[in-house]
Amino acid sequence: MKKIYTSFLLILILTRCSSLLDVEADGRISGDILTDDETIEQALIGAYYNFGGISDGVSGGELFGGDFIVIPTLLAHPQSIEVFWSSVQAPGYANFVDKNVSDNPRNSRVTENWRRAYEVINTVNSILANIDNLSPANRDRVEGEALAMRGMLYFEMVRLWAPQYTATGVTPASTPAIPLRTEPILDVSQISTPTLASIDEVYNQAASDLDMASTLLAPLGKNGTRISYYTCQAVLARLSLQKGDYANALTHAENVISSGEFSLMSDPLLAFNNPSNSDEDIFAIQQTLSNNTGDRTSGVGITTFYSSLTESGLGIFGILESAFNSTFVLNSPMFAASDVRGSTDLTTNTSTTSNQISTAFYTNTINTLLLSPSKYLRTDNVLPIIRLAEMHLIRAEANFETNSNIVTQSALDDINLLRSRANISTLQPSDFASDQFAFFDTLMLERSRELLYEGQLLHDLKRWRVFFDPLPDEFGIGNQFNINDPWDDKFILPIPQSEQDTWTGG
Amino acid sequence: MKKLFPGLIISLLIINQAFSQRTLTGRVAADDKPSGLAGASVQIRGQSNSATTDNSGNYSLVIPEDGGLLTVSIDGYRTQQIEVSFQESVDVMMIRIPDESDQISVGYGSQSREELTSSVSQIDSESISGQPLVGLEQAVQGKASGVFVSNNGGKLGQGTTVRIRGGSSLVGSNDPLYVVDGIPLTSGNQSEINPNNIASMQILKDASATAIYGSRAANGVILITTKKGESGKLKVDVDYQIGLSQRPKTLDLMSPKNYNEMLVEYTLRLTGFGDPADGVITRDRLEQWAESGTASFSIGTTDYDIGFPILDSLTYDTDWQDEVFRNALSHRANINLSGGNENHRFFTGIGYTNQEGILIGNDYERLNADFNLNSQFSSQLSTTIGISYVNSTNNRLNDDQDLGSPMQAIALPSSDSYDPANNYQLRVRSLEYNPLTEVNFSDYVETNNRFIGNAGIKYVLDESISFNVDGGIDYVDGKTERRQGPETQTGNPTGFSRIADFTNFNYLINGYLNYSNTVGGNPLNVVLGSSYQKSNSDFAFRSARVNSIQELENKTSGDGFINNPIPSTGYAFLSYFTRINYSIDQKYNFQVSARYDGSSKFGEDNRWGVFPALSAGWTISNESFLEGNSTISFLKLKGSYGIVGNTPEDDFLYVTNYFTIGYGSETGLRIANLANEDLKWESTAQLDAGLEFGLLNDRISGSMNYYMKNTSDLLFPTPVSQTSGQSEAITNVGSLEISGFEIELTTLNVASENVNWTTSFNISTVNNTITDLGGEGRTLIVEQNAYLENQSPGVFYLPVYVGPDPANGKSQWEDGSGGTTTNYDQDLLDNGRQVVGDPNPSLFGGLISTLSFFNFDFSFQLQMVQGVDKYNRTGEFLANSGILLLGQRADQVNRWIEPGDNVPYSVIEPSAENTNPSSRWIEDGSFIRLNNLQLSYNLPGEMIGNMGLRYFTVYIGGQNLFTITDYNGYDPDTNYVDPELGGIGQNITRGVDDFTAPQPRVFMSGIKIGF
Repeated sequence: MKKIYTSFLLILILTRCSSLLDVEADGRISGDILTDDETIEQALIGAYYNFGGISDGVSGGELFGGDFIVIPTLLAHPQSIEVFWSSVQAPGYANFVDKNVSDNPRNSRVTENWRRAYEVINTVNSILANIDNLSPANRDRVEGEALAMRGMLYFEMVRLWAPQYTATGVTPASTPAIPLRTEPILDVSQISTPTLASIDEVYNQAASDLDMASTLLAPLGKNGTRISYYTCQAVLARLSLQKGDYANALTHAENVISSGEFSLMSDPLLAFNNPSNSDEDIFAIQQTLSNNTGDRTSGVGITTFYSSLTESGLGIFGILESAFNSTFVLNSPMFAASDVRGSTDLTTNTSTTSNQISTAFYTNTINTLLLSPSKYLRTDNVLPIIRLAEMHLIRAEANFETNSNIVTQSALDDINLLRSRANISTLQPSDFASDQFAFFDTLMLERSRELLYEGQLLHDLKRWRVFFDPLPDEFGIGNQFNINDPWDDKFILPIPQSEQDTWTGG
Repeated sequence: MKKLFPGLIISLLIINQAFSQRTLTGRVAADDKPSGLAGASVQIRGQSNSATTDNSGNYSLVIPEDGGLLTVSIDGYRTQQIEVSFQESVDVMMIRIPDESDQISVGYGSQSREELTSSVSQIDSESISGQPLVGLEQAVQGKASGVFVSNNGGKLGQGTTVRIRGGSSLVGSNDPLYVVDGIPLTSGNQSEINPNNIASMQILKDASATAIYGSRAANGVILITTKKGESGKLKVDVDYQIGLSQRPKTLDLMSPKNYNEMLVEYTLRLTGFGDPADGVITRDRLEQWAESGTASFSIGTTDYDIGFPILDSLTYDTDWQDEVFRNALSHRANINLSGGNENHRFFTGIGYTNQEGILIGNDYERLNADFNLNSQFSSQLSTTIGISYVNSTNNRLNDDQDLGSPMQAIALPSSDSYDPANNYQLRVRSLEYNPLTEVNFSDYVETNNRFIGNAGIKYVLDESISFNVDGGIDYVDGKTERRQGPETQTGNPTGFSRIADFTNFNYLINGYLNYSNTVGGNPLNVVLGSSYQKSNSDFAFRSARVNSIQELENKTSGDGFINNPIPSTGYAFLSYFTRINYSIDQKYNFQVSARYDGSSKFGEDNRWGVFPALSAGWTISNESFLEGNSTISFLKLKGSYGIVGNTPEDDFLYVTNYFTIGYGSETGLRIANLANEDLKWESTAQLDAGLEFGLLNDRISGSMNYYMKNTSDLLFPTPVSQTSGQSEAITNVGSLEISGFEIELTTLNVASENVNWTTSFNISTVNNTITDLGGEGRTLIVEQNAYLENQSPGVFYLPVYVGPDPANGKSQWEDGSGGTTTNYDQDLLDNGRQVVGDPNPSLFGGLISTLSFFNFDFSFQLQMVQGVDKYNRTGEFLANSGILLLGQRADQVNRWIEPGDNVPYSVIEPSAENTNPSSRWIEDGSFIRLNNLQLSYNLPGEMIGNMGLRYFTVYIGGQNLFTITDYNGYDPDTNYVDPELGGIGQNITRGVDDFTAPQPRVFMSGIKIGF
């Protein structure tokens, strides 16, 4: 009898042994995992994934792989006389087309990119906090790439979400910009209301991250398809230029160009739609059929928007050909007839495939009154983020600005490299003999032509404070004076309402 | 002398009465033996004469001329007393006293009706087995108070939603806990148990009943007991049923002529002609243009002549409903063997079900095999063992909102047709996707292997103490193979194949002791035990752009090949529980129960919780002042209070979790959630007060209950600063309240030798309100549904549609500041949303009536749901004035066409950016439905006795035979939830009909034989 009691009690009193409640599940990855090379490398890949805006099929926010191109493009180009957007299919972008996003902090694209950018930053911060867990052989590379991603994001965010560094009324040292996070958050209890860092603080963080990354990555050369020393230098060139720091811009651009690691493609069209990085790509997002920034079935992503080919896109973004050489459209690229960057194929239709496209633009197969750009045609190709061509443009501009606005042969050489491969005439110093500032107009045009719809124009207009076209609603004869000031608040992305809502509780 | 005197009088009376006597005849039957009760003793109170009923229940008794109090008694039945005056014949209906087989299972034991102090509803096997069910949950629909069962859709395999006393959670599960023969399931296996083999289902509703299941009991518990063998000779039960299903309703869709007129109008308005206000487009002209195929008109001095070449081809008249719906056959057969001797009793059965869906391409096939054995090795030792196996195959259809779902065909133009030789593409509007293409060029097969096994030992130590040790296994292995051919939209151009695997393995071990004794002369019962349960789920998913499952299985890389590891999930509960019952004088019953639960789903500091409950009952009818009361035969007051819990669906929210992603050709990690070590149970406190009664010898019996539930520490996604990389975190922030009344009433209307008629009625109210979401103005909106403070969970929260602007026909919505707007934009969504409907029913119930008439049995079941709104999202496409140029409901001809129109629907606005969800498609979803009707004929006993049969029954019946409703769609009993929505989305989405298939109308016929 005692036996029965005892054995029963044993079963009854399964001791309050906590191990019974320590449940594991196969494949589960949780807790403090950044303890070895493998997981830290995987976290870094996770950061690239978000950084490059690979489609997760859920909320999106394509960052460098899309929205950092699309959003400034739509903000900088006039609707109806140059660009068209099908807001039915991609309604989140209507606020950029209409240039009223600053009034709409609930805009989903603003919110998603904001959140996802900080997701990358948080991942990077975790990697950096655990960097000592890496074997020394990998440490510098991982730390460099992680720092560079954070620097690139802070720079891109500060120029989208804060006033232009050089704008009147802006004091970089005190004008608030965005929150700076440099420590990881892994527990809900660690989340606190952030404070807004000043424009300077964000620029300085970005620059110091990229500087440190440059040092760490310098021995690794091109570093495969990852962020390299050259990526850091190229972005620092961009960053310096944005601040009006031409001397540094010159140095950084020079560092990239003179390395000889990159070379311009023979034809500007060859810089796009490549299955792997081209010789011109300083950094490009890697895409595959399964891991890409969004295809037509997901309904998101730059290819879905830009391409109107049945195989890859929905043609949501369209362009009026008349804008390409129009005195009517401010900042028109004014393509010469021979410029391959303005070449068009008007024979395309719904059965055209990407390998049949050999021009810079083609008839939008869905709305045949419009054109589609030939950039980003396929989701299984790399997505160029920063190219050597831009370094030549930066060097030319910095050269001009740091030489008391004298048009030097070397500045012209940079420009002419791009002009000649685009099949337009080269320029001589004598062309600017009567008006050296005409070089500035030339430079603006070349930047516009070379980087058209790559998201750089808005930032150029901001730093130059070049005015641009009116809203379509206001458009009309006699309304030409009502043009847009790029320093206007309406070209600054708002801090998402959903973010601000979390601040009230303290 | 004093003693002698009354005795004398009595003897005098006897002598006196002896002179005038007569014979009373009659028949005694019982509620469980309507054909007659043999061996009952019949007597007039105070008389010495007595009689015993014969085999048919007949008696003949000599009684005094002026009658007396007729008393009928027999073991196992409540003694009946009937006043007899001058009747010559009196029939008596006996009510059986609940014995062990009537015990109500309460988990880890059972209780009698008298002992029960908690709220439990019971459903017996008769009301389950006759219906052609796919999912067992449907069997509960309309049958128990406080339990609301809605169908997710009419496609086979779409499942049901079961809510016991509302939903106590917002983001956690609101499904009840299913316990089959003692095993709490985690697999979903309950759906496919053979309904024919269910002995009974108990629905535990209040905290007192559910507390023994502790942290998983907040949404009630459904105990399912399967049939067991009985000692005696071998019994064989065989049944076969055939059914014919069809669509229950036909929608009135637009004629080809009206569609073509709409097309002309659409084209003109799109191309800029006929600004609504200028009156160029009129009804007459549309008709004329549609007929001629041209449109010529003048504005000012300009003549316009527009041809519509497409009209020449749109000459078909296709009934798309007939193309996708069909008359569908179903078969069901069961064979059961049971029997045993005094020591071993077994039950085994095989069941087979094969059903065609009413939509093309939808089929379901299931095989059930069950076996159980109960053995009594000695007076002390007994064992049970049970095994249940299910294999099912479901040819599924695309999700409702998918263009490849057959129901979507009803929005195709009636004036178009399709070409089977050209992949079923539409002949004219070939860009519209025809779901017939999908059905004909794709396969979507889900197979499930399910297993439930249990084994237990019971050792009776002495009269007062027994021990039970039992264990169980609950397992499912599911596989979904889906191929979409190159002809299909998703499969184009190479084909697309997917394989998804799912397994859930759940095991359990229980040990408990049962102590019964008397304390102070009154019974005390104590259950004390512990339990450990662990559940683990594995998932796998593969896909590739190939046109064959076989090819996908052989693939390891290549175009679009995805085979990312999916982490498993798992959780465990370690629990201790007790229940103490004490009864005083059979009048006052008390119960205390508690479960101390440890869950793996929380951080170390929050794993353990106590879930106590307390209840009391007062059986007033056992008080002396009601003894012998001929009106009130049973009366009990009861009340309970307790706290139960609910855990989050995600298993590891307390820790930071990562998931894998791919970048380029490399694999990386991404954070799924940030750790939250403070996470804890949702806790639901519930108060219940009730009254149970039986009147007129229990000819009328029933109960009334009032309950109030309050969930606190409600889990809710709280927005957090996105600088953390996350936009929200699940935290314990909110609270909600649910209250309601429940009434159950059963009446024995007629009880006689050949006619027996009972009616059961139940009705419930549920009032569910979110009281706190953790912050001022915090909301959660998922499409049309929202969680808002001080509102019912999941209310429809949309702009209010006012109707067309009479001047130009444009849709108008209330703008939120007193005016109206014709712009459907973010401003309107930010400021114009209002609560426009509530998808949670406020009142529901059912009525079941059973009539036995000689050898015929007739029964029907009505279901009623009131105070509920539906969002007819189908209408966004099918009844939207034609803005997407889809086929329309016929009433859309009443759209605004020309100035002066006073019509309900807006003008076609071809440039509208979307379908503009609004209150336009909110409809009253109340309904009353004849859920079930059945007529059976039992061959007379003397006839089948010769054949060695116990019974022989043939029957015909129907399901869903008619519905009274104002709802415009096919079926108000729809609750479509997009499976691709996450857990929260699935919880919040309710009351939506999105091209959702209706429940079929079924006619069935069957035969049941026992020998």
